[in-house]
Amino acid sequence: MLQEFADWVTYTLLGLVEGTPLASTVNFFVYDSIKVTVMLAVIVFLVAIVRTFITPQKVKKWVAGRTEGVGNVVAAVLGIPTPFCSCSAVPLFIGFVESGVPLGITFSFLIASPLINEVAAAMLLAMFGWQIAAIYIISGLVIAIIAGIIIGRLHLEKEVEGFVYKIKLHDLAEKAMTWKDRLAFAINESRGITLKVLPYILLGIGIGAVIHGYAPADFLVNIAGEDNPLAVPIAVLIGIPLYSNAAGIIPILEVLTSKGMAMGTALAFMMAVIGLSLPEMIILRKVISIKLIVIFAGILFVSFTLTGYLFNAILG
Amino acid sequence: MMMKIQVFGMGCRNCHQLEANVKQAVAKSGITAEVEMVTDPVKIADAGIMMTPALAINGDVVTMGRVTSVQEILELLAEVR
Repeated sequence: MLQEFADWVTYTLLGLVEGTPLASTVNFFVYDSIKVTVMLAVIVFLVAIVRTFITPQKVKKWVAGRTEGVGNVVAAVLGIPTPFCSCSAVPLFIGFVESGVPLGITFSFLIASPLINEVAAAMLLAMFGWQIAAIYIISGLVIAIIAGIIIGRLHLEKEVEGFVYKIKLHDLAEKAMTWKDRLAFAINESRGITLKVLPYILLGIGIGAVIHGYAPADFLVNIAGEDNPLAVPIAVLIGIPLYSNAAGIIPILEVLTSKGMAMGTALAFMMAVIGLSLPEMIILRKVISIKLIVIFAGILFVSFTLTGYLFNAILG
Repeated sequence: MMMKIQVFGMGCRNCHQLEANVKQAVAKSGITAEVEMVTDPVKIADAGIMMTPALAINGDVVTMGRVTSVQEILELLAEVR
């Protein structure tokens, strides 16, 4: 039905000739932007309902006192529906460490929270299908769990600024929510987030549509295909300082993969863009040493690169 | 008593947006209120806040982890008053 609508807009409403690059570009743009927007609004709504049950205060209680392994898994899973803004990293970190959550488990949460987010999952689902969306979520979880366990094993507690351990927080009383509140929150979130990322989606799909319509089908095969082993680490290195949201990146990746970029390389690049951000690392300096930031970023760099190689090998 | 409104955030875009919304809501409501930006991470954590930006009215944290709209702030202000 959606394809028919896109065809109607392209060939009937705009009167473009089928088979030309311009018609192909417009058709792709109309089809993709509607599909992605609808799916995004629905998934953000569902995740927002889940989110009303999971506040950081509760997460803190659920992971405090858990042992390595179980604690890392719980923290990483709870990180999925929890939203994350790089400026929340510090208060979250202090809240966790202060209430006795071990450093490694704290990092499992801090890694999973931005790395696995519903906007990216919804867009992958819409543009690449459920298999790729599932690969993204599962590999994100595995990375968050393993990276957290490694950081925990390295015993880096002394790399945390001393004042963090001295803070004594008082717990905030949380207001009980009714189902009406939850629905209102979810509708608000769905509308707010979808509208917020829509310009990025349209820009990304627009750029993607132009590449789709005009670039030859194999123009990235040599540079970013699975036969170039350097493509993955370079893609991750480029992705780390790029501070963008998944909304703008994924539509472009959809097209780049159709033009020869290997799927694993594309996934690794996307994870680097959303999972590691420069502002977050800079802001974390207020609570942890540069050494720990470097270890944290280094482990993620290696993890993303290995994930890229793994899926290039499996999917290639 | 003058109302005291605090915006908690370490200075990201969302925090500044919330601050702007608060000022707009205060101006609209016609009340006199003191608006304070709290950027010190220790003070933020000390208030029990784990997600920024957050908003507190007269010391009570009312919203956390989102940019509250002007309309919602107006409602929150009306509730307190």
